[in-house]
Amino acid sequence: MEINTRDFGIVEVQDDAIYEFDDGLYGFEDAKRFAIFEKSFDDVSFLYLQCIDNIYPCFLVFEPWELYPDYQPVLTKEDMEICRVSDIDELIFLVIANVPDSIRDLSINIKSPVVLNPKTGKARQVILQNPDYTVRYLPFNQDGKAGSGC
Amino acid sequence: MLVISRKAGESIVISDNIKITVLSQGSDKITLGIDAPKDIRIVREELIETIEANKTSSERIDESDFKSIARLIKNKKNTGKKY
Repeated sequence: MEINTRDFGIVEVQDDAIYEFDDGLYGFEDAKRFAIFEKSFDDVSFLYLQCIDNIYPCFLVFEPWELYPDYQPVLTKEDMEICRVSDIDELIFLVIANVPDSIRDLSINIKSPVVLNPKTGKARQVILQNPDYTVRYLPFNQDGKAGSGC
Repeated sequence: MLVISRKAGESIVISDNIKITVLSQGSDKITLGIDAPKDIRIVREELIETIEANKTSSERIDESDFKSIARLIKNKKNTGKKY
């Protein structure tokens, strides 16, 4: 289907790239349906999580292992039940990026990833049990204080 | 920061109308009970952090920034697992 995007006008997305967030995202509780699409810059492909009922909100997201190879998310039993999975490997994880003026300080929220269940088409943002994970992990600036936990 | 030690079953009281009781103590977490007026908002800290992070992350990103990010990603050694 075709969706209207915040940054790229009309974009064609596959039906299986559309996920329903029954609870929205934290701070965006009314945003219930999102599409995931790819856009390449200089041979690097970037993923977007775009609301499809409105052009806002829209997020740049990453597969966490791409930027944090040792990522070992721990979900609560309750979150696993809501996601209808018995194994964490059944879920696709995405982390939301924040891009400040200084690009080296790009951060990803490894504490509260978005988890997608491709079998049900449902998704939600979960807050992990990992006590050391931060909402502002700095993958390109390991000296940064916000990048604790690794 | 004020630091107070409490055992399970003991409480502290804040400003006469908020009472926080340690209900139980496990190996890696404690369970708290909170009695407070209805208009007092009580949330886990990471929830507020997540809402703030989501809000600041929903801003538009310039195309020139993507080129910079692409460069950083290419430079970073990718040893992560992929699915």
